[in-house]
Amino acid sequence: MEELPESHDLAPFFALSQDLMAVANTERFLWLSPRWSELLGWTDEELSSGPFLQFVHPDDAAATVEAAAELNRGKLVVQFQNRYRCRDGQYRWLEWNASPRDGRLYCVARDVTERVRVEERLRHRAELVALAEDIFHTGHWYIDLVDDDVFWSPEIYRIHGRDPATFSPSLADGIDAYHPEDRNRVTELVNRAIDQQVAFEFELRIVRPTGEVRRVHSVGRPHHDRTGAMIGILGVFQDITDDPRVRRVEQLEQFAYVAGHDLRSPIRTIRNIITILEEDYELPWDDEGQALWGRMSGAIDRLDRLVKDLASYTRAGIVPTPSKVSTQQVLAWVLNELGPRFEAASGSVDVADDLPLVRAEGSRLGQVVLNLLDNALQYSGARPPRVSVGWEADPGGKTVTLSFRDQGIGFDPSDAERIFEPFRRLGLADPQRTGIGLAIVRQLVEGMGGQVWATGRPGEGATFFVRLDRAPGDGLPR
Amino acid sequence: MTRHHLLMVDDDEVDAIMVKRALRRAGLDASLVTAANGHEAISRLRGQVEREPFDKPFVILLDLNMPRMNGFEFLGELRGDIHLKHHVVFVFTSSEDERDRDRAYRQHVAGFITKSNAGRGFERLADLLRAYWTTVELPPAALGGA
Repeated sequence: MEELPESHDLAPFFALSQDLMAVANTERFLWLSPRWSELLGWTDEELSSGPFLQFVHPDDAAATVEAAAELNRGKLVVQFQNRYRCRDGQYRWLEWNASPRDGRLYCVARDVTERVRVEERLRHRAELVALAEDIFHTGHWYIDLVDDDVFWSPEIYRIHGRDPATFSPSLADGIDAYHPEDRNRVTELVNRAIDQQVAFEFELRIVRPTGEVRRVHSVGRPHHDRTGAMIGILGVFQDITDDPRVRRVEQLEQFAYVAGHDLRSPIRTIRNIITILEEDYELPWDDEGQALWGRMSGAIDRLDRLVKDLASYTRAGIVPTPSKVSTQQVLAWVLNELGPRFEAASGSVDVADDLPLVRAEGSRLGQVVLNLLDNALQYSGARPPRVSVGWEADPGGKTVTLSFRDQGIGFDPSDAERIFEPFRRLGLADPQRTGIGLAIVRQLVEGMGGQVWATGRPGEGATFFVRLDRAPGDGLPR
Repeated sequence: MTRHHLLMVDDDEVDAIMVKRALRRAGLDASLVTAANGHEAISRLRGQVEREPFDKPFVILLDLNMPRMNGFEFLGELRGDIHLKHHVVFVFTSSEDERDRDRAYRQHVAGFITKSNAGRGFERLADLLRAYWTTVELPPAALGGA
């Protein structure tokens, strides 16, 4: 080994440095700092007796020769990486800065093995995340509230029909991509998530620049730093456009729409013509003809109700968008509508004044309550219809159960399941009714992830129970 | 008392007869003009069709599902025309789909009335129109433009 000229006073520095320092020519080391033998396990003599290339990982040899040639041409080499073999056979990643002077190469290398491993692990993880996103058509986005920055994962770009190489999203771009009919609702939900720092979940449609519409299920939640301050929002989008279940739902929606409109329209026309004929014309027939006419008229009315109920039954099965709903408020809405009918029958509805917040969809829960109270009216028997509405928190702390107890005709316990089947009427119900109210209740409640069941005895009334998830932040003990 | 003007945009002729009857039965002094679709209604409003002369209607009953130009397309056309945008539009439809309702209100209709909710002989519709005409001040005809 050569002695470095004028190096004696600097020797303690070389010994202390974490970096590896060397003087070399293009083939072999001429001088090495003490750190080399500590890191690689070779003696200085072993390292400098032959060409340094023998310690370089075979895959890095060509690049190393090229870097040495660069130096030889008088150029600097900065942040060049290669692997050096240790005495124990393992390799360490080294990152080099080197410059040539007077025919020698002055080199400083740093052991970056840990950093390279971490980088590789991160790259590997990112690949796995991308793979998982691809498998489930699921992407994630992040709104950085501190830096006012938006991140889209590759799948989010794909859902939006955008190229990550040419497009960098802003918050406004994200909102602009929402289907116009979804924009207000979704913006409101996200803003509320920011204001109240709560999670959100909804379905929305995203319109690609080509006009193609993708249907997306979205969940998200606020992201807090260690002090509890909200610093961002993480959202997950699942592209459910090609999900066969979603296709089925779309067909059902289409059916519900056709049944609700196109099918009812001619029925209503017949109904109207009957009315015009009855009111503006002399009907020519005798009593028997009159009776038949009346039956036809009744059948048309029943057909109209049937189609209407069938449409709402179908709609009821379609996946809802849940949010935090006050059952107290829902009861108030429904009583506004049904209250007069209870009063007319000298009945009443007693509502507990501390009904809970639940995770549901307001209009669907309204329909559930409406149908249950309507059912109580219908099956009140000879007594005035009286219903008491109560609730309790369920063990486990995740759900609550609402109860609707009436004093009506009740039912045979063996019918407890059958009353929820569509088009089934038990007992002496009004033949004008289609018997689909409770079936709709079940569709709606189960669609919101809840359960509904009933207990009762003939002549002793019935109690209907509706179990729903509690709303996040409902203020009740968990 | 001024005569009221009503334009009904609906492809269902029987419904048009029913509305006419309802107006007559309610004793409302109103002229009813019908158009079978949005396209025809727009043409008539712009006076592009040589038909019997009629005063410009200020209240429009609009069905949604119609051939050629449906109710929403009609609304878009109407609101985009400076001479027509002031007309008062009630949606009068057999659709009970809440998406139709929401979409109609987003296009600033005065009300969304489902036919099944208008009374068997549309007498509730007639009540509404009577109350509307006796209570609400409408813009002068001159606003209609040429």
